[in-house]
Amino acid sequence: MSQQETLLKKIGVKSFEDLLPSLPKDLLFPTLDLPTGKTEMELREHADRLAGANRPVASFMGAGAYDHFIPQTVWEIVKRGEFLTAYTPYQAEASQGTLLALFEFQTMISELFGMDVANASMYDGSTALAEALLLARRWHMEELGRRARKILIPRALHPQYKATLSTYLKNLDVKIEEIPYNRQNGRTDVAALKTALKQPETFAFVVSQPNFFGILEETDLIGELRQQTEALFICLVNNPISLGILNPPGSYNADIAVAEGQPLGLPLSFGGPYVGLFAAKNTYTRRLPGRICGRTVDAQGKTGYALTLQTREQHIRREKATSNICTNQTLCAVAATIYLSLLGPDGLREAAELTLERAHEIWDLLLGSTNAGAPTFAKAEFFQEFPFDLKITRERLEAVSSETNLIPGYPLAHDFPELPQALLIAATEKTKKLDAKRLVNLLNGIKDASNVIRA
Amino acid sequence: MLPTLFELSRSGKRAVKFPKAAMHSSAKIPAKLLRRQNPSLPELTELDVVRHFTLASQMNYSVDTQFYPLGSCTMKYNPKANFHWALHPAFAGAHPLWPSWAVQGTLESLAGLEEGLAAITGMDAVTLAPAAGAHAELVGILVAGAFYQDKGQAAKRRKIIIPDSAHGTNPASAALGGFEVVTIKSTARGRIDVLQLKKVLDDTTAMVMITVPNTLGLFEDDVLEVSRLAHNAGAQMYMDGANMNALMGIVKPASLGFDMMHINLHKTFSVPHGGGGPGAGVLLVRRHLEEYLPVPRLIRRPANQNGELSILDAHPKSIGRIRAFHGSTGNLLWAASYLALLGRDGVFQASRDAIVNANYLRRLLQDAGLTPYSDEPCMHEAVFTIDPKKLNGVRTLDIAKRLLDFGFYAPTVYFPLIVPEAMMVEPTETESPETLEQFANAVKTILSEAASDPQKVKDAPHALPVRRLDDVLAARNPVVTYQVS
Repeated sequence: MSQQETLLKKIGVKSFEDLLPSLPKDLLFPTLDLPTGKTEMELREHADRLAGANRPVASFMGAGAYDHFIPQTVWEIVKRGEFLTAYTPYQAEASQGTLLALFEFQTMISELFGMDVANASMYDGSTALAEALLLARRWHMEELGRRARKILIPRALHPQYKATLSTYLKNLDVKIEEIPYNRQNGRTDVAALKTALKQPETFAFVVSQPNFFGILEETDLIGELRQQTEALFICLVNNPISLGILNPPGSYNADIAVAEGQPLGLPLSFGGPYVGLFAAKNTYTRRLPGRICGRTVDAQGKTGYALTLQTREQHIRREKATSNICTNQTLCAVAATIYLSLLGPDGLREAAELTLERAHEIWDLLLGSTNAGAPTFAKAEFFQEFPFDLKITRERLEAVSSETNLIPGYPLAHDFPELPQALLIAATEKTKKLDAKRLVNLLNGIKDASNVIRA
Repeated sequence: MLPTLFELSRSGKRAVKFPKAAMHSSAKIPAKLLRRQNPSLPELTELDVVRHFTLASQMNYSVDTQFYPLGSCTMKYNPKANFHWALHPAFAGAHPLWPSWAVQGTLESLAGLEEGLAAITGMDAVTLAPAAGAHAELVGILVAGAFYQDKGQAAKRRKIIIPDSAHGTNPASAALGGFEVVTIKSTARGRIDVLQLKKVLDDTTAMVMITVPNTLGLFEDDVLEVSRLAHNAGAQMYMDGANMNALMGIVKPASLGFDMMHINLHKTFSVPHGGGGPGAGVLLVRRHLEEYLPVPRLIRRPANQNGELSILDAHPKSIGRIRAFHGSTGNLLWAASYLALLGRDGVFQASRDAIVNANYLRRLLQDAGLTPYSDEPCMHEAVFTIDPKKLNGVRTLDIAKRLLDFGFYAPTVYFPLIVPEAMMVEPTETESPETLEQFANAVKTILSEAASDPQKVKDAPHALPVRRLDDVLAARNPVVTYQVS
């Protein structure tokens, strides 16, 4: 008797079908148009063939996801089965490892952002920003008893974040108004923001530091505006590594700070899984979306950790929850925690400084070249990326890029028609000087065999 | 308890160093924007970090170390063979904004997953973008909203009908999507009450959202009738596919009349749960809803134009973007690998074994003294209830905590909300009969302890790094960060 038959007998049925009395008989056991299963050896060959279809490239693409250095230790630990194959720590006593790591994560993110509290993470940076705006809306309606109909965002906000916001706010009767940027220096127009904030029913304003163009905003002046408005100041930190050298959002009055945490030890992975960082002032603790880990004591008074403030959440509040989220990005948060503990404050500063230097080296090379073009913003002040107006046509650029396996950056024309020739060029501490030279050659229209990247 | 990293920190220690930059930040950044004080991150050596996290990990229960019968979560074993594809540097290194010529291998992997999931469910189109099941629900609700907008019925159809046995995410997603939630009670048999459904179903209904099998582990035997009624009223049928592990090769959701559904790839398709995420949701729809799916979408050029895959970034009827980039590709590759490993016969066998295992465990637990919620055979999971009055006041939570002492993770408890003292057990197909028998023996022992020494059960756990934790204190006086300075 097979194991199946033995089990069926012990269950007390004759056949497997006897376990399915409620299912429509004529729809049972459909044929599936799928290949047959592979052995592990065949699977590896298959995966390797597909991996070979991705090209080896040199890349200056940033625009919200960055190829920073990941120390070996990060994923050696993350891959441990005890972290990888556990689930949400509903039984806290059997999940202290994950909970401790989340408590440390929340602490580090709060410290890094200069804020009071952080949650245990969100899906990604864009949904963290959307959830921040939902929090601000509920705050205005429920705590302040005000109508909440409008938000202000910079025109120079990440276009895919804008798109995500508009999807999230679509059915909630919220108007999104853009604040223009200055054509000379690429910064958001603070005077225009100040005027716009006087409009009634505005419940939040968003500032990205740096903005999507990589340009540093005058966060000191923007922070001062918060004192004259009830609207919540939501700061999007474009890359948390920049906080190794840049002022944190808490220092300039932000109510909520969010970020894409991918640069903190997560691979690019074609868009995810990433980790949304979400930090706030104490005032908002009980209104935070997503999971939160808290410290408590056990029956004998010993320190331990547990998920807390769960009455905000969907499994208890259902349609009245602060968010529909039932998960966080725990494993990614653990990776970020390990990354930050390996670097420490000095390592983070070094990574940021080196990134800053690499980006400015490319800027200098391009400015020193004859045929590349000119900076989009002549007076740009930037951290790791900047836009550059090219002479070469878009079509030509795409063709040469594909011939040489060099991806020079993110063309802005589609999202910013007013910048038809601009290319957003990013560096990290990993950017190689040889690749930077190849980039400058390519943008200068110089064809050279050494310019082709090969496997 | 282990000390935190902040307590281990000593000034000047460091694990990772970078080459020194030649210039100082102040040369390029205005002084007023520079950080004046370092963040209080811990300062540690690499060994400090490795030892801390290794010891921390050993305080976790996980599928690799323990049976994890957490109902509704499908804690199946995650085969190690899938690491290769999921973590391959050629895929891990791909930037989400690279042009499609650079990432054909990634796109082919994703297309294979889309095709496989469509084949299993009978659906026509797929978006791999959602970050989790709840995210996919929200997307499905927005897709339905866009469909009715297009048909000029958006102002009228404001209502989503959801049974009271549903996951909490269903009503929460509906509310976030801007819809009104109408809850209907389940029947005594734990099914949708068709009579009650008829009363609330009308031309203001946008969607009927149901879980199949439902959260009681039962198949909705009136599902074809529910679909017929919903469609007659002009509403969409949504299936919460959290429990898809019961249906692969058993029945196709499309054949049951569903217009859209989501699958939690971290459950049925073996993406490791990661201690609570990252998950990966997938939304599948019938043809009439396809053009409303979020962007970006994967498009295959016709074979006469080289058959390459490309990315569609905008579509006039699409609901738009739901996250910055394509999707949780790293997790999607895990699922693609699992699907390739199992293939046609493997996925059917997984579901069949999951159902057989659940029924075997149901029988064992019934013999051990638990009361099943339903007399019928279950699908992939079973719900039990107990009467604390007959157990010297021992409650389901106490049994859950005591199970930890026996080396088992606990079942899902107090869910679904409609069952008092609920205990929801899902063994999955990957556990052996011997493990299920050991688990049932542990339950039996605990129930006899409840008779002989109830306090022992109420005080559990005894053998873990911490005793029972005070949730009330944690919520009343939330301490969510370590006070570094």
